[in-house]
Amino acid sequence: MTGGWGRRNALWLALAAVLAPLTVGVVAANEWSEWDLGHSTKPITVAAGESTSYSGARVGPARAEFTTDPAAPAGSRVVSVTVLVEPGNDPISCATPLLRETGGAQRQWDEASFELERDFDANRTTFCSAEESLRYSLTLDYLVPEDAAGPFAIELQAGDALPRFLRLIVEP
Amino acid sequence: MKRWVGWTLGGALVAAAWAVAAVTPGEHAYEDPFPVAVEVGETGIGRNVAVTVLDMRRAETVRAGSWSAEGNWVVVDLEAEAVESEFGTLLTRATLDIDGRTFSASERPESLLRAALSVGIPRTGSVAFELAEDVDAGRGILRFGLDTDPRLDSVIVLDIDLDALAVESAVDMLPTEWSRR
Repeated sequence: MTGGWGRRNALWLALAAVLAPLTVGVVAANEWSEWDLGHSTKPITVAAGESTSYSGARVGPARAEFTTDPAAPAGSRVVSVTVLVEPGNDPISCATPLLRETGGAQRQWDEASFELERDFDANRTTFCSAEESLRYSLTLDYLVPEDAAGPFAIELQAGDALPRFLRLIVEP
Repeated sequence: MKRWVGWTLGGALVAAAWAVAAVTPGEHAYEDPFPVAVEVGETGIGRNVAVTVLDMRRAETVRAGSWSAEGNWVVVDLEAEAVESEFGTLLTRATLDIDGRTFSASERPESLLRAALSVGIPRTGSVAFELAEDVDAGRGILRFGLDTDPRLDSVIVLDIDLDALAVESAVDMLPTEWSRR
C-alpha cells in the first residue's frame, strides 16, 4: 500500500524534503561566496549629485559633461567626469573607474587618456591612491560614440570592499 | 510475434541507432566557437567584436611605414570595434586556414593585430599573413576574434580565394587609426 508506506516513512520523507534543498543551498552559497570575493557583483547605486561612504571614504558627488577634444575621431565625443573623494581615517585605494551605459546593452568604456593621446599629468588623478589622505577629485575622460547619450554610471571599485562596488549615476 | 515484425523492428532500431550516431555532435562541440560568416564589405557582429573586411590583396613585398619585407603575402584591410566592453578587448586572433594549415597574422609589421578595440568607435588598419612559398592557390578561411583561444566566443569568418587575387609587386598596409566616416 502506497499510503501506508508513505505514512510509515513520513518523518524520513519530510527530513529528505528539507535536507535536499538545504544541501543544494549550502553548496551554492559556498561556491558563490567564493566567486563574489574577487568580483564586483554587488552594486551600490548612488543617485546623480549624491555621495556615499565606501571603503572608509566619502565618494561623490560625480559630475559629467560632454566635451570636445581634437583627438576624438568623427562620430565620437568625450564624457568628462569628476568624482570627489574624501578619504577617511584609512586612505582608499581604487582602480581607474569605468563608464557604463545604464540603458540598452549596458556598454562599458575604459578611461581614454591614452586614446586621446594625453601626456602624463602628475596633477591629474584617475585612480584612488592609498597615499592620498586629503580630499581630491578623480578627473576622467571617456571616449564614447555619438549614439551613447547616457545616463551613465561611473563604476568604482576598491579591492578591500569587493564584492560591493559603487555605481555613481551621471547625466551629462 | 510474426517473423516479419521482428525483422522490421530490428531494421528500424538499426536505422535509428545510425541516425543518432549521425546527428551526435562532435566531442568538442560543447566548446565550439560561434562563427559569424560574412563577405568582404559586410560587418560581422559577434559577442564583443565587430569586424568589416574592406579589401584583400596579395603581394610579393609588403610595406608598413619604413618597414618592408618580401614574401608570399596576403594583406587584409579591415575595420574593427568592440561591441559591449573594452576590458581586455584586443584583436588577438587573426588567422588564415588554407591547405590544412593555419597561418597567424604576422607580428613583423605594425598592424591591427593586437590593437585595442573601442566600443562603438571603429579603428581601420591591416593585418598581413606571410604564407609558405608553396601556398599559391586555393580557397581558405579567414578568422578574426579577441582571443587566440577561440572556444565559446564569437569568431568572424570569411572565405578567401587566392586564385581571385592578383599578386601585386608591392602593397602598403593601412596605418592603424580611427576610421574616417
